[in-house]
Amino acid sequence: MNPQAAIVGYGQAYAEKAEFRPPITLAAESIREAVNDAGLGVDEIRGEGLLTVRRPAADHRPQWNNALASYLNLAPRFTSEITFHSAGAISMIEYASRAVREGWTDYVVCAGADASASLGSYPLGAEGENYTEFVSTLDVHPEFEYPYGAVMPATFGMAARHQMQERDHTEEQFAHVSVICRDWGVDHPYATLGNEGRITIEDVLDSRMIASPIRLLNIMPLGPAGAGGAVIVTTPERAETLSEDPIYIEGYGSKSTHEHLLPRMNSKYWGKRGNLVDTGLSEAADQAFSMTDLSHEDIDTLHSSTSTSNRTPLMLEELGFCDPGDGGAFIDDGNLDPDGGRIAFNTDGGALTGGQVGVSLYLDRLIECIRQLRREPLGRQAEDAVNGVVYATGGPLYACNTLSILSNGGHNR
Amino acid sequence: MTEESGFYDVGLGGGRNTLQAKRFWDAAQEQRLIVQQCGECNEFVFPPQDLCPHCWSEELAWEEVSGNGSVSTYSTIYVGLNDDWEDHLPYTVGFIELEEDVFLFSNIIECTPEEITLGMPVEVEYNELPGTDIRFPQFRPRDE
Repeated sequence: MNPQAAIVGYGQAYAEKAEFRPPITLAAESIREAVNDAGLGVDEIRGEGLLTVRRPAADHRPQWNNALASYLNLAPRFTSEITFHSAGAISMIEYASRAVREGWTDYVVCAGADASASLGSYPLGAEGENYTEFVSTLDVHPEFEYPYGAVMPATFGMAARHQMQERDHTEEQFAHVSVICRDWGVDHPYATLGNEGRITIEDVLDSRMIASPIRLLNIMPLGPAGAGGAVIVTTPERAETLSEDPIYIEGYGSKSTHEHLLPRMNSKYWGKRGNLVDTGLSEAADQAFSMTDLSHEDIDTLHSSTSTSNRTPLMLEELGFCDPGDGGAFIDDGNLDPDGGRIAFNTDGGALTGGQVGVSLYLDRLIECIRQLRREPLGRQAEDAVNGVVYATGGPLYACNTLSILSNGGHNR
Repeated sequence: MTEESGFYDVGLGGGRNTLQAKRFWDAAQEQRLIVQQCGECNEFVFPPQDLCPHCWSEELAWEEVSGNGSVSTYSTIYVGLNDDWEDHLPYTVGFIELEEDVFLFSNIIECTPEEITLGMPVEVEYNELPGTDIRFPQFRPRDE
């Protein structure tokens, strides 16, 4: 193995149910914990690199990375917000890896946070505004989609219909994904729907229709009340001197293809117009796997925050775990089953049970992957997890795609 | 329609309309459907832009199109997530593939959700939408 970089520490902070905690506090606590975890001190991190997720939905300050740097007096010489929509949380891993490989800095802190309980503090969510409408139409084209009553669940519904037509995916398979995520999520202390117990495929198919064919239990909830996360990235060589449990960054890839559905439908990026199925993930995954010595059979754990469950069979095909059109059968065949399946999928419940805390939701999935590879889960531990994939997609209907392939270096502890 | 008509304030941040887009909405008030076409590569361009997204030419001209097309995909919305539409549940949104090989986003009307199929022929009609006071192109089933 020839890893690109290494994660030598991580930290995570949560708000308790309905607790109002500022995102910047959650991020700062996470960084403090990550630096301690790496065995480093404040002086070694001060003046290094800082990347952050987009500014939190619950904190309207622009240039949030600078606000966070100031809060901890980090004085970075390399810093930016990474705005690949919310998928920037995983892009941070690539950019941090490239920075330490180039010797820009010895360490890059990657951090972010958001607080679903505090979203009302967002300017457009002020008293008198309809915050539900605001979040429901966030990724809708303001001029050519919004007036027709478009809402985000409908964008996923429209895509699901093309998947069902072109890839033979079924509503039962979409429901199966929700069931798998719930099975893991019931054991995670901060999973938003974890305390609602296990569900069946029938429960999902009987749940309220939101935007056909997408039902309530196909969609992620908002939550937890608040969550922050941070990781410390450095070179593999430096990691060997620091940490007993470095997590190696083996590969990464990214692809952004559009903004809003209407331009996407009129784009000829995939050869002809009207394509609502293919995404940039295929190219991103090819790049990421080509950087590693790993094959898909080596991947033990898979983490993603896709907003609706219909994305999962498509994701499996585009990641290369199966051929196009076989993603649904791959799930039906038990490959993702929490007990005895080949791949542990969304061991914290993913977004479907864990929830979307805000723009930093993929950071929650990244840290869950690290926890699994280090045998330090908050919920249930996946068996024999050595190599993991974290996939993030941000923006209107899979506009931005990015993934990281992580490894604990072969320690099947 | 003027910039004070209210619609210009709708949507995230408001004020995103371009002069090119205004031509589209003005035509809709006259019950005409117009779409930009590139003089360099002949591709239709929607939503309207100043440069062609396909070949980057600025030779974009407005062409009147038939208003006939088919349903590429759709979703029927059963919950009131959008204030203006709350009294109109369920309603259907979808992408219409026009005969000219360009896609519009709109509503599919004058049929039940169960009657809609992918590929169903549709034709344009113009109606005021909830929360607006101007006409928008919507699509109804078309006999072939």
